[in-house]
Amino acid sequence: MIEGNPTVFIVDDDASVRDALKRLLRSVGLRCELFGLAQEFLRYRRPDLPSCLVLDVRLPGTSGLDLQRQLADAEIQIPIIFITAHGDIPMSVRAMKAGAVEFLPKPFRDQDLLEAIHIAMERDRTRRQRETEIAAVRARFETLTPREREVVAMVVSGMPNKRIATEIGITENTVKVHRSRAMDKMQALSLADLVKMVERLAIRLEKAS
Amino acid sequence: MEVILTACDGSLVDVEAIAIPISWNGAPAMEVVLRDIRRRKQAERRLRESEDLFEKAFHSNPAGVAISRASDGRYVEMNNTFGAIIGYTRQEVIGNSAVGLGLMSAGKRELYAAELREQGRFRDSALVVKNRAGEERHLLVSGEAISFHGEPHYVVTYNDITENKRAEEALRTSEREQFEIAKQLEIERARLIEAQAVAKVGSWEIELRSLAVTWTEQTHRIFETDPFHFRPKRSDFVGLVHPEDRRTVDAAFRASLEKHASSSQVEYRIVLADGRVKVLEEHWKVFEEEGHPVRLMGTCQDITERKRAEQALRESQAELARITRAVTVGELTSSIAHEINQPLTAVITDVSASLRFLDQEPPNLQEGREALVVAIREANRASDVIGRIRSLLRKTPPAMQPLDISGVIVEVLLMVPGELQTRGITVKTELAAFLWVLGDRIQLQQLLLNLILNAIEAMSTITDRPRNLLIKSAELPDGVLIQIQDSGKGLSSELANRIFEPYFTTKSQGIGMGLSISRSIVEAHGGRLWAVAGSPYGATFQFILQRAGSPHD
Repeated sequence: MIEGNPTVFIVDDDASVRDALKRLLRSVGLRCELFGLAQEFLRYRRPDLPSCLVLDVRLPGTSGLDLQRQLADAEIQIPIIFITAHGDIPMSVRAMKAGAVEFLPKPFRDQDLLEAIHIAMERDRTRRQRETEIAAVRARFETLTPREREVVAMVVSGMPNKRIATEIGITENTVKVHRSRAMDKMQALSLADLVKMVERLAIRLEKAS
Repeated sequence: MEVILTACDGSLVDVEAIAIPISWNGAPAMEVVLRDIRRRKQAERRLRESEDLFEKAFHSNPAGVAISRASDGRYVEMNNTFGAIIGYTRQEVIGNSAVGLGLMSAGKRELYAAELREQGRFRDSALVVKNRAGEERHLLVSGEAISFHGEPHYVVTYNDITENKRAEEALRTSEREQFEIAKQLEIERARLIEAQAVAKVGSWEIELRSLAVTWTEQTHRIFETDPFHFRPKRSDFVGLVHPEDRRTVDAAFRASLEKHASSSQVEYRIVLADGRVKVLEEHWKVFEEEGHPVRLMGTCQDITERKRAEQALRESQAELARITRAVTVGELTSSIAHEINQPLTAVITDVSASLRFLDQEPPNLQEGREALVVAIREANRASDVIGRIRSLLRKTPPAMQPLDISGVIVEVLLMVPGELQTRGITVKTELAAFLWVLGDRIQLQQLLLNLILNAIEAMSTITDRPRNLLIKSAELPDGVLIQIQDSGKGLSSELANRIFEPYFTTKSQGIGMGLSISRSIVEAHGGRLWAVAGSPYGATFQFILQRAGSPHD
């Protein structure tokens, strides 16, 4: 899958810090977008690209931690690297528990930030890839007939064909046909492959509910 | 008849010439006998002279003398003094008696008479008689029995000691009075000594003509000198004064004499023999006579303990102020950390970026250079912040110097941008340019910081109106006025006074020292600090400081 230019979003109220970060990222060839306030970032229409967020904790108005919560609530999954000039341990624990990639006290070493950005980008890429895959699986899953879905559900839960036939009230051969067609539609190479796909879907579905 | 003849040698000769009629040859004749009577004449003259002398001695005798007959006590002779003593004339006295004149009783006279009969005399007998005017005369009487014209008489002399007696009496009275006064003085003195000891106040006196110096016991006690052996002289005093204070003391005394100041005071140190130092305070007055200073009288108090207590108080206040400052700083820690870490972050990031640009193939010199320029600027910003914080935390004694108070206000505002920003406070300043006051920069910074933080806090709960902080500085005819006005919850007029009391606080987290310390800082600068409730909300804290000349004048 071909990705667009990864972008680092930076939210910090200190212009000098923002500019310095932009310069640093430019020196390693990373694109970035700068914001002085959390609200500005929320209003910004992000392009669908791999990205991560370098976020200052202490901001006028909505704080960094508030923004993290608002993003989670809106199901916007962007890896966050917190930077702070007056961080304490409870604050960093809270941020990390809420899924932050890294919590860097200012001033930090450039390698530490770049490493964190690298990890965050990898995480975002992985997530995006997984999401793409899930979307594909879902699309394929949606081509299945109701009967085929019913059979697949029973197959992945480990029921033998004979038992499935008895449960639904059809012949064992008919079960085999449904199963084979579903495998084809889902592009599953093996039973194990099919199980994995369905599990992923189930997780995604559960999360959405 | 007596005649004086001239002798052959020319001298005069007294002679008695007796002429006897005789018949000389039948014819009547006169026989004249001349007798040399020079001796007799001489004796007569001597007698006359002696009588004159006696007469004079008798009458001019300061003692009264009277001669009376022993048989009936009648006076036969008296002198003028006697008359003066008893107030009777010669005519009244001669032929009368002492008893008759009522000078003494018959019994009394008999006692004297008996003494004279038996002993022939008496000496210095005290007698009180009443004179003609009825006044008592105190007499010392001496008597002698004599024979006069063959008859026993008494010569009695009267020494009038009434005046002596009176003087003696007066003397006795005045002695008693003096004794009483002396006793009273002694009591007063004891009281004074006690009071001086209790109050630790001694007193002293200098006679300017003789330069005689008098110290009270307490003064000796203060100087730790022996009142019985140490006689203070000016040079001794100067020797005790701390060398560094001699000039001050000298100038103070000189000024009081020159200006005829009615009261003066000086504070100085003395160094005792064992090297201990005491702090003394003296008050004195110059006393003048005919426009010239003649005497200095003053008190001398040992204020070492007071000074020590004051010093301790000042130190503990300074310590407390420092602690409060530290607490304030603690409250501000996050803000300060932010203030320092922001520029440091920028510096480190900029330099890192620069290195990366320079490491590129080929090196990106322009980007690398730009990053370094920015880094320098940010490093200076960090350094400024550290400088401000260090001055905030430094434990130094107050150092008064001419300061531009408007400049100090700006410095303090630079310490709190985080606080102002996160609380959404709009700051407005109306500052007069170059308002010079004499003050301690750090203390005034702390003062302003306290007041500004209070204002910020007062507005933190306000949601229905803008949070505005207005800081003004203005010149007054005799000082400089600084006002810090907020749009916060305000305060009642009762609160406006109480908030300056130590340990009074309206804050859940406060220790109630901020405004109390703020006020002592202002007062230490000779100014005053007070609060005015705003209408309908808000409060203005304002203080006046004394003006100072510009250091460049």
